[in-house]
Amino acid sequence: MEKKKLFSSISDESFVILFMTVIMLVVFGIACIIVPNFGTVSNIFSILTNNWYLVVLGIGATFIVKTGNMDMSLGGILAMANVLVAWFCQGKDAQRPLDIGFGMNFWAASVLTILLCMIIGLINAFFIAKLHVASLIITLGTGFLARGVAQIIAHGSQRSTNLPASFANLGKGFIKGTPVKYSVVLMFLILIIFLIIEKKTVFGRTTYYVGANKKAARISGLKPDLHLAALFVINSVLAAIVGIMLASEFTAGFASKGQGYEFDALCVTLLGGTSVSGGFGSVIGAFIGTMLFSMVTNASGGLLLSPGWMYVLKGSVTFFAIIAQRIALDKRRSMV
Amino acid sequence: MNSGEGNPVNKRKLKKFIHDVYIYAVLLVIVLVFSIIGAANGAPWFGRGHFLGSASIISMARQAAPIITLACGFTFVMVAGYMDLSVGSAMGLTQVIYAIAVRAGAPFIAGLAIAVGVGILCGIVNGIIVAKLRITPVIATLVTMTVFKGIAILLVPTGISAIKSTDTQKMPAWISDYGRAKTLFGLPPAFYVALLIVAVIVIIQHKSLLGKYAQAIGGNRTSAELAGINTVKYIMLIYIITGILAAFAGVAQASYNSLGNPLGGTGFETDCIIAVLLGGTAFEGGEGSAFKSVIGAIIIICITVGMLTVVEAYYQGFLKGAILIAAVSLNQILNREESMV
Repeated sequence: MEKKKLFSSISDESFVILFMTVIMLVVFGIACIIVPNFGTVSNIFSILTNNWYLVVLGIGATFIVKTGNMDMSLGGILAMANVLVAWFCQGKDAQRPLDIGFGMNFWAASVLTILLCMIIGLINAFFIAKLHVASLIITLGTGFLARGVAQIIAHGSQRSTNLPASFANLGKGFIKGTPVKYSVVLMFLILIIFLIIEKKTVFGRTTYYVGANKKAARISGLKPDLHLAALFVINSVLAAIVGIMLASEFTAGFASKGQGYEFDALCVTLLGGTSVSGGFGSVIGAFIGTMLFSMVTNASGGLLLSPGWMYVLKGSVTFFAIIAQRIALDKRRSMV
Repeated sequence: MNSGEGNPVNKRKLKKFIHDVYIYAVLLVIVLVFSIIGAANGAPWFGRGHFLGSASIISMARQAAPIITLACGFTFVMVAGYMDLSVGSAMGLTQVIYAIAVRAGAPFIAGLAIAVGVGILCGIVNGIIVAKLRITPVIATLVTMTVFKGIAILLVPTGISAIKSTDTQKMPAWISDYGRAKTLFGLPPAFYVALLIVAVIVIIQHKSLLGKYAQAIGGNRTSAELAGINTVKYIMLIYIITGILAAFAGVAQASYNSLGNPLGGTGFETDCIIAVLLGGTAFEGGEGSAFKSVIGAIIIICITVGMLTVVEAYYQGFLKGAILIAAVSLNQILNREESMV
């Protein structure tokens, strides 16, 4: 009786996150047994840190999915930022058109890139909040548009030459004396900031209201459309930041960067227990989901499976996660 | 225009008229623009190198077969208010299986039958997940999209990108006939099959219960259910039709390229959405015309082929995004006020 009371006292959200954490630990245990070298310290460290970009994208996606929308333009915006920042930083004097840039300072270039990527976010926001177009459709379009900009600037390939040496400082840099990259620090920073926003601010709570019942939110005096618009712009900024960091890490701007990342971001969001119909979920879930996701990909890499298996695994894991969450929630509701 | 001002009935009539014919106008304008560009570049009208020259039209017809086939069936999915993001992957999967069967010595009909069988299977999987398990269509088909893509890649031996002729196994020479051979008017059989499919789908939409029920489900699934429609069955049927059409599109593409490319259908889901939206089907479902979606598909092909004569290939992505956004805006403008009335 006592136990049941404790069980029912936590919210559905905490319950699902707890549930996914248990699944993650089980997957971890199984992988340790069947995959060679999976449980080593260095491998666990790489699982924790290698997919930092997915955590950041997942955090943005969680906020969007919580409102019952989705953002398929993430990958495109990422590629656009990736190429733009490289273009702005390339030296002015060169022969080939792909080598000529603007010779800007890295930080100035980053700010300009983020501002330009916000335009894509604003287009999303305008169509979704003002014209009430389905987010899937319009973000598919803007995703193509953003990647198209990247392709036009990079002539369909990449901009990797004539970059200053300082360009790689941020992406390739480590915190002194540790194997921790700046990008990982950034990931945790963004995670903490968004966790605070989600749990402690009016803005964060509004997201839940808008997702749970948009009409009720409007009648209660909130501005759901404005809120949605803000979320899509924030999401474009997050994607841009990831794009800039990746450009710095690889010292190149690839037009094809981030292909399919929008799906991966959605995957980790769902794995983290966020409900597709909205009103439910947490950025902590996105982190747990990413860990589960990187365990699966890491393990299939460790077993030397072909990329085809990677797709099949990704799809099936997401599917079973959705089903498992639903069954677990139904069970719990019938018990309480 | 002036007579319509202030008279709501006339205004609505005008709006309906615009809604009915705008897509043909768009097609006409696009064809005219590229024709004029072609003529300005020195090609004689309807002659060599012109947009409306016979070589150009044949090339467009060859490339158009898969998207025309897919887009008309996709109308059902969107009219019913559902979504299928897995069509591209299903197309990749079916063409890989078709290529394997044909390379192993199967005749054309057998290969096509196997591909269609796989397409039906894909449709059943989608239908079960969406209609029976009631998982949000976008998410469900995103999942099946990855899984189908994964299976298609798995079927291709590691190290190569597509099923094609090897030293030990030769692809039969006739494989390209279906997608490239010059039959009546110099157009390939795949194009005529696509037209036949369009005719069948249009008849289904107008004459069968499926067409009416799809509309009812798109209007409101719960009320459709209360009215006694077996929604699960009809949604399954819609996904199966899409699967079959994906198989036909896959076979046409495999024949056009003479290989089975697991990633050959990438982006076709977006093309389908663009075509159907251009055709005036509202994203929320409820109403739409398969024939107009086909016109939408032809517009896409005209733009892709026509633009290649003007700009480099890497402008395609940007252009596709711009067309999609334009289609959404147009769709929104035309469907909006009607829903308010």
